[in-house]
Amino acid sequence: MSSPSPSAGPRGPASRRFPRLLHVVVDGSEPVVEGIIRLCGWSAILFVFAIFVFVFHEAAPVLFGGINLADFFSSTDWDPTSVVAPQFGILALLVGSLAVTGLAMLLAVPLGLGAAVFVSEFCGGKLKETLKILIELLAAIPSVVWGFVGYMVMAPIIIRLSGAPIGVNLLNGGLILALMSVPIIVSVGEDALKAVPDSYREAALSLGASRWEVVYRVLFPAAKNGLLAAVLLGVGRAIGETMAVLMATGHSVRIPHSVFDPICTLTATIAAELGETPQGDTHYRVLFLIGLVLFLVTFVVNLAADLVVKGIRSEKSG
Amino acid sequence: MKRAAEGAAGPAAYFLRSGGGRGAAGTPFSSLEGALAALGRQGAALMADCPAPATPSPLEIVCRSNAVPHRAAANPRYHFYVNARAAGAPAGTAGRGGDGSELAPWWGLETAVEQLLQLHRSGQIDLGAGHFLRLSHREVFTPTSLERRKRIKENVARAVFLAMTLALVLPMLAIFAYLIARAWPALSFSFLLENPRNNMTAGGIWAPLVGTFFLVFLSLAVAAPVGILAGVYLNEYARDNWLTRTINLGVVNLAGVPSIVHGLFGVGAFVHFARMGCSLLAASCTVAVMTLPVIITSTREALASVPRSFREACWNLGASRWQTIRTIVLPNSISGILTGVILQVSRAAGETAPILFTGAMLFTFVPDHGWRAFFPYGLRDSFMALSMHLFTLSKESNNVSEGIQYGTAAVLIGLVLAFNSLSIALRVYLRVRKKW
Amino acid sequence: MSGRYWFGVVAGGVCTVALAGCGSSTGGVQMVGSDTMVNVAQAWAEKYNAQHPEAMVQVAGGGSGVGIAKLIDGTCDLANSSRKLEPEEIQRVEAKRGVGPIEHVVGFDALAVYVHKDNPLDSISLEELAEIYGKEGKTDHWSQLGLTSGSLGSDEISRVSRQNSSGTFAYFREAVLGKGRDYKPGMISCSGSKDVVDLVAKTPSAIGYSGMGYATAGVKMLRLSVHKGETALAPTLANAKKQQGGYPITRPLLIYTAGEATGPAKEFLDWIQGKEGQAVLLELGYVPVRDHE
Repeated sequence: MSSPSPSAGPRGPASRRFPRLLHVVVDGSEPVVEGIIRLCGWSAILFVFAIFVFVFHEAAPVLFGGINLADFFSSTDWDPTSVVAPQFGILALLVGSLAVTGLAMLLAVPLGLGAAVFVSEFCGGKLKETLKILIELLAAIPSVVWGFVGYMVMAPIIIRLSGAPIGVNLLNGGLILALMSVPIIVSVGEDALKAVPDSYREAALSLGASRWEVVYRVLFPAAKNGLLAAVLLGVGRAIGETMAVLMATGHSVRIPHSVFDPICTLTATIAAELGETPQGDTHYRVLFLIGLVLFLVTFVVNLAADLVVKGIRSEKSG
Repeated sequence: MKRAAEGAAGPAAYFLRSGGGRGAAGTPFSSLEGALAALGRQGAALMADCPAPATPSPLEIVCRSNAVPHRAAANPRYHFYVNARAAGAPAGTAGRGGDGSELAPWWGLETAVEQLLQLHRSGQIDLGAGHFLRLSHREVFTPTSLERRKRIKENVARAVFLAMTLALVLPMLAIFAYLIARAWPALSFSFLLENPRNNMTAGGIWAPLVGTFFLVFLSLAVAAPVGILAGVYLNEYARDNWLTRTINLGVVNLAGVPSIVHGLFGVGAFVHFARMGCSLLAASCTVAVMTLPVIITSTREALASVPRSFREACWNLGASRWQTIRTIVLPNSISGILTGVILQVSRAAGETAPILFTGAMLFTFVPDHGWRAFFPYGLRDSFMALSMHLFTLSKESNNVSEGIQYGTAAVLIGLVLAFNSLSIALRVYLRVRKKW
Repeated sequence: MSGRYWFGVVAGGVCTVALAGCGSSTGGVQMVGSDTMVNVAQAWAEKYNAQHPEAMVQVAGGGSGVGIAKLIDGTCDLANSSRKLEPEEIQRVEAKRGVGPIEHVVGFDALAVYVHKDNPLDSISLEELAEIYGKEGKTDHWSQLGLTSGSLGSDEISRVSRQNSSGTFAYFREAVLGKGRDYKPGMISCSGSKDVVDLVAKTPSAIGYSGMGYATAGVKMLRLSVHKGETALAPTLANAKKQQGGYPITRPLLIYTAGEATGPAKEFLDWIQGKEGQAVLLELGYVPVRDHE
């Protein structure tokens, strides 16, 4: 190095000296900075772990003997404030969650995949950009606004169109959830379709296939893993949704017999009842146990989606 | 019957013209046969002149009458087709081929003229004043029935998929247009700047608005540095081993955790374990954990979009990894990172479940004038938030006018959409500006 | 350069916010609890804050259970409740806070039974209500009460109730169903007093209960009698004021404190029980303490 050393006399230019000191400090602290970066890098996994630990910790006393676990999963009697004996059966809540998710997926998957196919294959240029932006904006609408829409706008419509006694019910929740999960199905599905190499499409077209036949016979089989992952992510979103179902499904603990029955989901139960229990109460811990169940379910769904996507990656490179 | 117009007015004259023209020039013919014969002679020459593979323009026979004022008809009265480039007639048809229709054109100009004369003699062509007859050229390949079926199927498929997309987009647009329409009477500057008054039946949404602002700011102040550095780690430092795969899995799973479970985590970890109590701090930390995964992912993508050659150039000059990142990689990817962060602003503003139990209050008295109006909440205070306010208004408060409820929803949507549009615009700008 | 500039701006902003955050005071009076009382609590808070801005009263709802839970945890000063504390809750307060809870009666509320305005039913007895709402109760259809389902849409009675953290929920259970009897499962639980009335107004075949101050034009309040065949009384102020022979389900509105209230909380509590606070209560449709004989 040809730059003068710091000790080049007291008349050495300060502008030369300070930068070197600064550089020495900053670069000398590089191991510290790298350590911080490494720590931050692990933060995601640390937080997932922490969430599990804290929820498990609060739920543990009831998990190991506080309540009857068989009853917990199989009884429809959810009555934590009963004067006779508190009941903690979540079967009705589980069925409610599954029912509303199932209904939502029934609507969202065909429409979402259809929209993904349209955006990716059948339109181009400006229309494509506009639709993609629209769908992204739709994905950003907050959950509480969707709940508000379900409660104020859709409920009267449902009552008027179907004569059902109550407008906040399984159907309402299913419709709102479908509208909420569609954007994620569309965007992940579109990514999956885009990932299919163009050579597949070109080969099919050169054999005389129409665009619909290209989609149906070539793209769907090729992208099926990605599309499945899209559906799974949509399911994960729908199961975990809280505010929208709290406001739109009516909050009634029962097993639904028709789509016009109000139901209660796992998430809505936690949101409605957590505030009322003092910390450490059995009811409090059971709510955390429900949270644990939710966490595990969405964990499994997301893991499955991830593995499915990885499946294509290894398939393609292998 | 053939030239009905002639009997009523002056004699009709037939002109030849090359297709599309409005004028009719050249010598008039007094009868259609004459015109057709001339067509046969001249048309062949015209068609031969046209260089392949260009399509010659259609030939037309226009009928004019002096008595009847000339109206330029737009569409031909008769439209026949000639496949001028047919390489010979199909066997067994003796040069006749089809019937002059679009899907079965006559094979040649002579055939066309012959057939036209025959039609004229049998009285099937009645060309009155102002009408014209057009002979067009048909494409070389006419679709077979298989192709036609396929095309129909494709159009049907396209229509079905378009309908599916519209079935999603249109109801949503309709719902939100309805929301804005109902909210319109209540929206005004004073709505934004006043506190809720009189049991929330009057006044505005200042306190929740400012609470949301603080919540978002604080949560991003916590989440952004951690998320950005995590993205830096994953993209720059991490090796492709099981640890990295696990971390990636962790990011994906953290993104998928239900928001109420985040709320439970916030209650367990921040409210009780860290003894923050129900406060702005606890709520911000909970929301920060929730927004972390998207920031990490978008940082990673932004960093990955910086070409490797940039880094290699730095390494060639002797820079260490952190120096490279600090001076070249981060500054060049800052807009991509900002895109992700702005996206999470809207998410943090809209979520309710995580703040329900970690700090949001039904009603808190907050001054709405003076400088204190801008900093009303301390870190350990409970606060009002816009998302929670909407929930409260619609489910718990009595006699709140619908205008206020819709107005709050509209403000929340507007806020969220504004930030998302900002993020999208930034992304589009990026794509245009970055030249690598 | 511009990156660094913006970074500086943001960092400066964060510091300002943090400083300001530390600067403004925390504390104030926390009043949490009953949804029945949340509207009147908010009205009190607004009026009191206007007169005494330094008090900074903060109000939250959630149900009487929430207020009591927070009282036990020590995170609120005044717990609103529309039901009395259970013995275990009293014990818990003593255990955790070191002092027993003190009850302050701040008003009375008549719990009204609402039906849709087109419902031909006019009055009902507590016994019949218990058969509708209680576990093992046999009344599930309007026809069992002698009504044709013409204007009601559906014959099945849609039972509307409150969420199980609500004091109203607990009070109704005790006063109407009787001690030791639970609700029949399958009712629609609403999370606020206003919600119940809203839902009943939209659903012709519904029945629900909520505070009398929440009535709207789309519902009507049934007159209640204790046993079938007795004179039924409407939930009016006059009937609610009478302690004997008055409206059968009138309950006190309570505020609990852990030990005696002190400081700003005590001043607020005194104000509530004073003339101005009670005037607010009356305005919102509840019975002031003084008038209850």
